[in-house]
Amino acid sequence: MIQLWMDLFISTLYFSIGIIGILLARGGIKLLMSVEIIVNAANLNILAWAINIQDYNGIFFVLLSISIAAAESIIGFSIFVALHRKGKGIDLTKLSDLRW
Amino acid sequence: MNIYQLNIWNQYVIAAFMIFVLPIVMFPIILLIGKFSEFGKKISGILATSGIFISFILSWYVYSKGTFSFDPSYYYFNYEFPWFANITWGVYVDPLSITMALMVSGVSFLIHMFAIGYMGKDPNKHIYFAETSLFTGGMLGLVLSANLVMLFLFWELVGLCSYLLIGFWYFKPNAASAAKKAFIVTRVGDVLLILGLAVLYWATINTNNTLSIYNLDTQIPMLINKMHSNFQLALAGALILGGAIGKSSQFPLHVWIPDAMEGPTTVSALIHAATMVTAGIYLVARVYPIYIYGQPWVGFLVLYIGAFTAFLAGTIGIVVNDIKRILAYSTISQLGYMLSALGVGIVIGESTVGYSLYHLVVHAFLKALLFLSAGSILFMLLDIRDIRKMGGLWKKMPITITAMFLGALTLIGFPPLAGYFSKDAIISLSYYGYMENTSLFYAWFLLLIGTFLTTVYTFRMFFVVSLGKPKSYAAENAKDPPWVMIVPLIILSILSIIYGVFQSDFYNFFNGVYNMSTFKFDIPWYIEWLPFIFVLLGLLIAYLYYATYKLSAENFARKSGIIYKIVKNKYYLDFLFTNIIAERFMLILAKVFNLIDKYVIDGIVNGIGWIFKNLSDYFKKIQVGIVQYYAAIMLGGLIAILITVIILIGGI
Repeated sequence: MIQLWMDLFISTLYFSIGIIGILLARGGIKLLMSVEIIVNAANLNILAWAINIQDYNGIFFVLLSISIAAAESIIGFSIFVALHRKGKGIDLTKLSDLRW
Repeated sequence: MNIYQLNIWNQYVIAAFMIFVLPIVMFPIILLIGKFSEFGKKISGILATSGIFISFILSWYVYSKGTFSFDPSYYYFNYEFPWFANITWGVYVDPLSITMALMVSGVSFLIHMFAIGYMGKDPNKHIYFAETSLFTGGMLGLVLSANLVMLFLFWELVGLCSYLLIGFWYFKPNAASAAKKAFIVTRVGDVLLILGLAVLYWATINTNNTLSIYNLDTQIPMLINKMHSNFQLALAGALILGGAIGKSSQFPLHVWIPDAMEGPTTVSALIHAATMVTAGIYLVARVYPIYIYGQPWVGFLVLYIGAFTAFLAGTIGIVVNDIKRILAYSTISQLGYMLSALGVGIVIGESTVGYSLYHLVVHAFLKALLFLSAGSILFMLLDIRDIRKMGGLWKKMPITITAMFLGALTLIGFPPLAGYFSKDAIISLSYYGYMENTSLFYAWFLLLIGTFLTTVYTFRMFFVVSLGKPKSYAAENAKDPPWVMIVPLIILSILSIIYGVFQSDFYNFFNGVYNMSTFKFDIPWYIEWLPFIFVLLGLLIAYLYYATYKLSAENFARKSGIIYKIVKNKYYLDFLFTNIIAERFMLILAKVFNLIDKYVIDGIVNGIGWIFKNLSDYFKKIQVGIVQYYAAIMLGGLIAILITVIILIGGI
């Protein structure tokens, strides 16, 4: 039987992995992947609580959240494609044009 | 008080508004058509003149409402609408304002007609006519204002027009500096006036807004009876008197008018003799309840400034040689008579307004006449203004000099011309005041000596100009000017001759509305004829010194020595203002303020900028430009907030 704490543990694990990924990633793709992982962690958390309190609105809310995460990652990807076309590359440590 | 408070507008209100709106609207029209076409330049004079003529007709229309209407409660009206806060905007028509409106538009019409000939050859005449039209509109607005703030706006407008028109021939350095001087000296008065309005507002803050003239006239008497020693109102009166002194060029701010004679003569006639300089008298008469019901020292200030100026300007007029400056000092002196007539009201009552205004109207006619005939002379003599270079002009230009003769006789108050009825009435009035209150003796005495001085300087000018032999080439070839300049002279001469007939009608016109009992002078007959004796004495002296040269004025001047020197230098007032106050005091003050501005004010402003500019050099280092760095800061901040919340609330 899957307990609530198992779901929350996995969700927290996902979240931590995502945070570490954001903090350590050098490439843009890795950053976006990490963001997706964080979103998924949040979705899993919502699902776990929704099932626990028997409220199925939570499930539909997660569907909405997934689609928004998809749209968001598309925006991120298109920014990176545009940067790539400009010939700047997508190495995050080198993208510092707006700095002082 | 029979002033009818109108709540709806009717044809009389529209007419009253159009009186001053029309000439102001003519200003841009004349300016534009004159700028873009030669034909427009040619007709600019006719346009301005006809616009002001329509104003005159409208003034007459509004005036006739008062005289010919049979309903006494409907004689005069006040129409106001709110402007901002409790300041209103509107027209106030009573005998005082409608008399001024008729006088201003009528005299202005005649002077404009004269100016068509006088300014005929000037290349910028459309600018001249546009500005005089704007001036006339401003002056008519000033006299018809229903509110003292509105009056102040028009007051500034006429001040601006005075500046522009004195400096109309701006390429003459004298004219440019005279315009600046006039502007700065009247500015002193204007600052006092607006301070006075502020003090008046403050003094009556608990009652209805007395900046509205209707409220002022109806409420000040009750207000002052309630709290008799109201110092604030007296202070407001003194400050407003300061404004009148600046505009009407009374001592000690009279120094600007003689220099203002650098402008065209028609400007001197219009602005510095007939209309604008009487605005100060009008203002004092307008807020008269403050002086008459208030603390007596303000009224005595009005009286003695007027009487002293009448005397002082008369003495300077005798030693000046410039024909226009003689007339300018004469104007200052006569304005002193009007102001002191208002001042006598503190012991006699409100009816002295009628005496003052009657002299104002007569003076406007005769001084316009004198200035316009002087203008004809200068027009023919190519702007030679020194009377010692004229002479023998009676034979050369008979109509002009005859008009000038009539003007001069009116000015000295020779019976039965209008000046006798207006000026001698003021002197009798002051003697009547002296019998009521002995402290008026010096005012009466100064005014009496003033008639003698008036006669001497007027006929000195007249004899030197008209008799003897021509003393320059231009004077030998002078002749009468064209008809467009002669007609105004003739009309003004006729007015000067016959206007004395209307004396008692004029007084009744005023007293009927102010609800004042007309009083008769109960003074001895020899006092009543004393001014005339002084006039005859002055005529005799002027005749001996300047017509027959039996006595030598040079010898007399040499013998009087130091007195002559002081008077010749205008009592060193110009010296005091320019060399002492301006250069020793104001210049140093200006330099100090300049240094303060440069180092303190600018230092503060630049210092604040410098601080932030340098601080930013340190703080901008935070923005490293790496995404992970921002993410880490955000995470750290979030954790810090969470921990704070947990500590403060004790659980999530």
